[in-house]
Amino acid sequence: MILEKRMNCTEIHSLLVKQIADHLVPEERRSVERHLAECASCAAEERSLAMIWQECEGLPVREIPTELYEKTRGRILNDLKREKSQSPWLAKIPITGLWRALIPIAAGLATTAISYGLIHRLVDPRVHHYSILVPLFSLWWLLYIGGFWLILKGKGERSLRLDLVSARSISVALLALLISFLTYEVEFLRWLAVSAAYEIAVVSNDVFGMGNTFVAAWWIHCCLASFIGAFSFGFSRSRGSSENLFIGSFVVTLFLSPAMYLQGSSHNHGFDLIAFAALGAYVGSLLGMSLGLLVRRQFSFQAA
Amino acid sequence: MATLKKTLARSFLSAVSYYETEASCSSFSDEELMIRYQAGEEAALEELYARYGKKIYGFLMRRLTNPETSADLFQETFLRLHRGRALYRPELPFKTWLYSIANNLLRDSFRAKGRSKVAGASEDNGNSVEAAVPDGSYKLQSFKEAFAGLTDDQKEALVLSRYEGMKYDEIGRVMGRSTEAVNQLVQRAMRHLRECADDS
Repeated sequence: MILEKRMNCTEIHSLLVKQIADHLVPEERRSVERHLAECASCAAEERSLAMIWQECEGLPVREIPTELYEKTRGRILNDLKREKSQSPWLAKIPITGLWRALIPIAAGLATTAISYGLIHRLVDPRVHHYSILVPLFSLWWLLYIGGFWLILKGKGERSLRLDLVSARSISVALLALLISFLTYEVEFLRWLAVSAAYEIAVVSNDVFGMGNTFVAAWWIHCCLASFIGAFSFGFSRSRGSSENLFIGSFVVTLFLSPAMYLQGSSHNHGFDLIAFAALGAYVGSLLGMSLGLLVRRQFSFQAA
Repeated sequence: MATLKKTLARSFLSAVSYYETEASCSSFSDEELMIRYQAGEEAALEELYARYGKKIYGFLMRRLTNPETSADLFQETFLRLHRGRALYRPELPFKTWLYSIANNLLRDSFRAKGRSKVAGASEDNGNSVEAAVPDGSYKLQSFKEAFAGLTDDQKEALVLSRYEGMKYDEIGRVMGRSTEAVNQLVQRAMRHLRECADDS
């Protein structure tokens, strides 16, 4: 009898918190209430637990700062608006079945053609044999395909950081080629680039004992391209910036490698040049990211 | 067949959402609002944010209470909700989905800091309450200490039950535990608080 009473009390004890939290089904509640009316110890247990439950109410919690509340709301709303403004373009792109493969291939081919168009005057057919050119541009095409595939994969969900990285990498690669084109075609810019490259080469010669204007020019080139990409990263996103910085600079360098190798091969430079370019990309990314974040914070501050 | 019905119902709701006024958003359930939000409706986002913005911050502050970290996790919770909204399925309760995001971020944050859960949380708790209640009473102070002495799981279950008003099955979904396990956690938490109150 005593055992049965204890069992009942144990069962009731396991339901007391649920009773206080009002989580019991009517049948359980009736059983608990009936038991509490008869059992003084369980009733005392229930009262003490109810008191603790009530005391929890008094535990203060800091209110959300208005600035944080509004800032987060504004950020998401702006993002939603931006997505909606992009959606008419993106929504028309089919991403199922064969299209999933065909669209990146076609887009990659078109971008490779644009890239070739921008730098074809820099290519010397007497030096750059087609057996080198074709594999290099094929590699470039593959990289573009990968980039476009990731962009399409992230479409609509925006859950992948890589889609943003690839979108910016393609833009940065094209911008870098545009800079090449302009510095070759526009005399003033060519003079500016050569002068800057000369200065860097002189410094490099003083510090490292070797100086080469061509290497220095590529260094500036990669630095500038990465700067643009990293600035846009830093300006539009604050969290995860460091990972974006490294992924971004790596991908940018990868995209530029064929062109750098192509140029380097005619001047007896090979992978050394890529190392220099990677350093340029890294420095550019670092500066661009820092400045982008600084400008972003400044804008946020003014808006607040 | 069931999937087809759900898909059709979802498409219908998405289509209807474009023709209804923004003012009527407050009458929708969380799940309906989420479907509208997935379809790009700003008013639905605003309503969901108004319903859960302050609650999520309170939830984070009760668990972590360091304002800077809470602010970071608060922003990240809603950004993850925003970026991952296409992954939401209406058959899941929105509330538990949102709290799961916040809870996972909290756990990641604890892990990243690599600190003792109890010691770390109690340190934070003290700072927050002192700031919130400068003239906090002795009773309140001892209650805070008792609260800080709970294990992380107990605190998690108690906060969701007591402050967020969740049922045990909902808490189970957020925590990835069974309903009975949640019941045990809340009970142990309550008994710990009661024992501390008796001692003081």
